[in-house]
Parts: sequence; structure tokens; C-alpha cells
Amino acid sequence: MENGLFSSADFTQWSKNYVLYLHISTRIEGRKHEGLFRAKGFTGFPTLAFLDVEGGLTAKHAGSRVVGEIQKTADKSMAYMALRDKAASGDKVAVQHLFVADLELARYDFTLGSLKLAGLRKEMSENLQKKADQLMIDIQYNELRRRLSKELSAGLGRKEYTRRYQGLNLDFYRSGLFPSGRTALSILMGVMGYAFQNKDEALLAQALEKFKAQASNQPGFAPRVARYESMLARLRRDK
Amino acid sequence: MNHCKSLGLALLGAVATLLTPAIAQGQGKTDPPKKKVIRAIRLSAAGSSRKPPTQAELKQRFTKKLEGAWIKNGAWNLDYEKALQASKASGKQVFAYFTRSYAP
Repeated sequence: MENGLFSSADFTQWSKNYVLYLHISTRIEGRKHEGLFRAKGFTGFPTLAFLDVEGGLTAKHAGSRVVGEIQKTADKSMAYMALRDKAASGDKVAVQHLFVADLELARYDFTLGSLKLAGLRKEMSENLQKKADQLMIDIQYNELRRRLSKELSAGLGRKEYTRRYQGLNLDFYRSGLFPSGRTALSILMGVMGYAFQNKDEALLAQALEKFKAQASNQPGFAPRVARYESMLARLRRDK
Repeated sequence: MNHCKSLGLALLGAVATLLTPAIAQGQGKTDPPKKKVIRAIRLSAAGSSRKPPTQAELKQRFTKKLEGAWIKNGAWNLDYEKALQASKASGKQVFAYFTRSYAP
């Protein structure tokens, strides 16, 4: 990207309409704004994002790293700022939509998000409620995952980490709270691995059905299904 | 590239570690058992990868990153406050790129 996109004439032309900010995490002690990446709630390098004049996150780029796609994220950022202005003028529906947009940008943690949602829920449409509920599940799962990763960095043994990670996935699976996107698939794979280790044929069969239903459009789906089907067959054979 | 260098050094270290006692004993054996070699390479490589970079090395990596032509030729602002001020003054959004220099 650095020697491709950022060095291209397309990008140079496009970037004239923006202020470009480059943040490099260095791990150099005492360096100003060294922790900015984490403070913004980002988790993986590289990250492309749009910020407002206060430095608040207005959109995070998730698509292909080409000018056309980045422009789409820039448009989302503009839409977010327009929504914020509308909400500030007292528009109640805009307030609800802004709350959901803020959840998407992970501007709230689970506790504060739950509190805000409790106050807004009654006035929200059913669709918006569903969207907010799904985003809250994502935030909750990510928080618990991050907490566990921090414990691993702080010296928690790998074995105990794995045990707790499996426990976390099982808790979400059993409660029926599925984070969106690929996280749900990774939970299901974790559950299937656990079921196989513990010779729980029923759990493996159930999770595999859910996996098939959710992952059919994912790349590499068929070999994964075949692998879990063979694990299930082994459990049935060894019974 | 750095990985290749580390692996090469690890390999050299491992072979040297295995050969030294044999040479010292005057046996001149140059074909230690395969398993021993693999284990020594693994230990040596693990040792080198676990060692965290020093502050001086981190500064060197940062300086090297800044030498990239894409930064020098681009309009990138490396100062956070100045970027926000420029955004306020111009009314333009900030497009931010977050990367790292401590690891490839």
C-alpha cells in the first residue's frame, strides 16, 4: 500500500481534498501520542480512518485499499458528521441513528452502550433495535476477547488462556448471542473443536449445522465442512 | 528479509554449537544426528526471536521507516495536533493512516 496506493498519482490527486495524517506506532518510550492507535480503539495494522477536527473517529475504512473505495468511506464519514449535526439540533430520530452509528464506530463500551440503549430503546424502530442489539453483542464479545488477550500478555499461561477462550465461545454459543461476520464463524469453529476434544457428538453435530448455514458463502467453506464432518464421523465411529 | 537473516544466524549458531565440542575433543565429526541439529536450530531461533528490540533498535527502525519515498514525496502530516489544526483551518476532513515501525 505504501509503495502502491500512497505513491500513485490517483491518490496524490484525491488527497488534495483532505488533510493527511500519518501515525507510526514505534514502541519508543516517552514518544508523544505513542498510544493513539489503541486510544482510538483500533486493533490491527494498517488502519485507515477519517477523523473530525477534534480527532474523533468518523469512519473506519474496511474495504479494498483503492481510491474509489476509500472515497466511499469518506462519504460515510461526511454522512456521519451530517447526522451528528442533525442530532445536535434536537431531531429525535437522528439521535437514535447517531447512537447506532456510534456503536458501529465502537465509540461506546458495553456498559455505557447498554445504558444509552436502555434510554433510547422505547422510541427506536424494531429494525434499529435489532441493529443496536447486534452491535452490543459485537462490542461485548470484543471487550471480553481483548480482556483475555491482555491477561495472556500479562502472564496468563497458554493452556489457561485456551481454556478460558473456549469457555467464552461456549457461553456465547449457548446463550444464542452471535457476534456478526466472521467472528461468529470463529466461535462455531472453537465450539466444534471443543466438542471434538470432549467427545460431545451432539454439540459437534449441532454447531456444524449452524456453521453450514452461516458459512456457505465463505471462501474455503467446503474443505472446512469436510474436516468437521470427518471429525463427527470419527466420534460416531468411536462411540 | 530480516527473517531470512535471523534464520541464517540461528542456523550458523546452531551448527557452531553442535560442532564446537566435537572439534575440541579432536574427533572432527561433522555430521551430528539430524534430530540434534533440528533441536539446536529451534532453540537458537526461539532464543533470537524472543529477545525484544532495544530502544536504540526501535529508533533505528523508526528512522528507516521515515526514509520511505512515499512519506517524503507525500503530503503526510506526522504531528497530530498540527493535522487537527490544519483540518480546522481548511474545513477538510483528516484522512489518517496508522502503521508501525517496530515490526515488519
